[in-house]
Amino acid sequence: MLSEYKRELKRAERKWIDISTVIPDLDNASVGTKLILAECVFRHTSFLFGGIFLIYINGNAFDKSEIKLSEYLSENNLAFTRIAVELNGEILPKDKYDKTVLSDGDRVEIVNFVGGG
Amino acid sequence: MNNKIPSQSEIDSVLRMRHTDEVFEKLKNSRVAIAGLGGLGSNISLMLARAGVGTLHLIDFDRVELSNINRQQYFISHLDMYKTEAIKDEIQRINPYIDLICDCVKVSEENIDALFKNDRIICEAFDNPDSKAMLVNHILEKRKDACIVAASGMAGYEKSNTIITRKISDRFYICGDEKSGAVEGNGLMSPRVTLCAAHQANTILRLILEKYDV
Repeated sequence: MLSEYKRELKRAERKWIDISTVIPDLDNASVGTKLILAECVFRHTSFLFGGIFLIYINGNAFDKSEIKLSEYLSENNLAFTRIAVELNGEILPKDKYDKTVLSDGDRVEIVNFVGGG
Repeated sequence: MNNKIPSQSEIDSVLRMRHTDEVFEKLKNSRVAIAGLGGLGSNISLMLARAGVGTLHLIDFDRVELSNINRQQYFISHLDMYKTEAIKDEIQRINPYIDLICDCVKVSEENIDALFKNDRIICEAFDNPDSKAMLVNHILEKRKDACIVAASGMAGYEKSNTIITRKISDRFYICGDEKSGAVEGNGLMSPRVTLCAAHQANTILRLILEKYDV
């Protein structure tokens, strides 16, 4: 249920919506639901006041609506054959590097292997 | 010099006394694969052997060279021996009752699955960055039941405290400073390589003992 609310709110992020259509009984909603709602309201407000998008790469926050992974890798001299990439806690197969576009809320860990052992 | 070899029960009882029964049993019943027996792998295998890990799966295709001695746990008497044989000799001098499975082969995309099929804890201890990435990616993608402890960045004599352990996910830990590669003018030296090896060995002990934070 919570993930449904979250998806619905994310979809409606860029326009005013009536919260009661998504969470009919807000007063009795669980703490978890309210926290997700608070996050969505924060993002909604941020959007209206100029936009804050957060993409986390190795713990550093980037205020961008999207980042093409392959562009980030080449800008930072990270060779495809010498890295491991985890996207939101899951390993990203190498054949997906080219088409992966990071968006708001994504958390990425890039491990760069250098020689020596 | 005392040439008497202690019995298994003598060795086990001192380990049991130091580590407590619970820790001793967990370590003795554990199995760890170490891929690469260079500066990292030779140190890691001796540390885990001393700690009492019951089964070590040791993998390397290379022979001991003079240029290895500056940081790898081998002696002049081991020159030209396969590293799997040389490390076996040393481990047996520490604890002759450890089960050793030695594979003198080069790890490739083609043989990873067969080579590591019985391993759940895998230590990446290669030298070459492409080999490191290949093994780590393969294990994380294809072996959802296994975890890997890898290393990146330990060359030179940069500050000791830049060598750290980072937990990337439940199945992936990385040790090192993630930037100091071995290059001309900044070669591999024993202290930082051993520091990094110790980070990996301790992370492996913690995984065996079900401690998952860093």
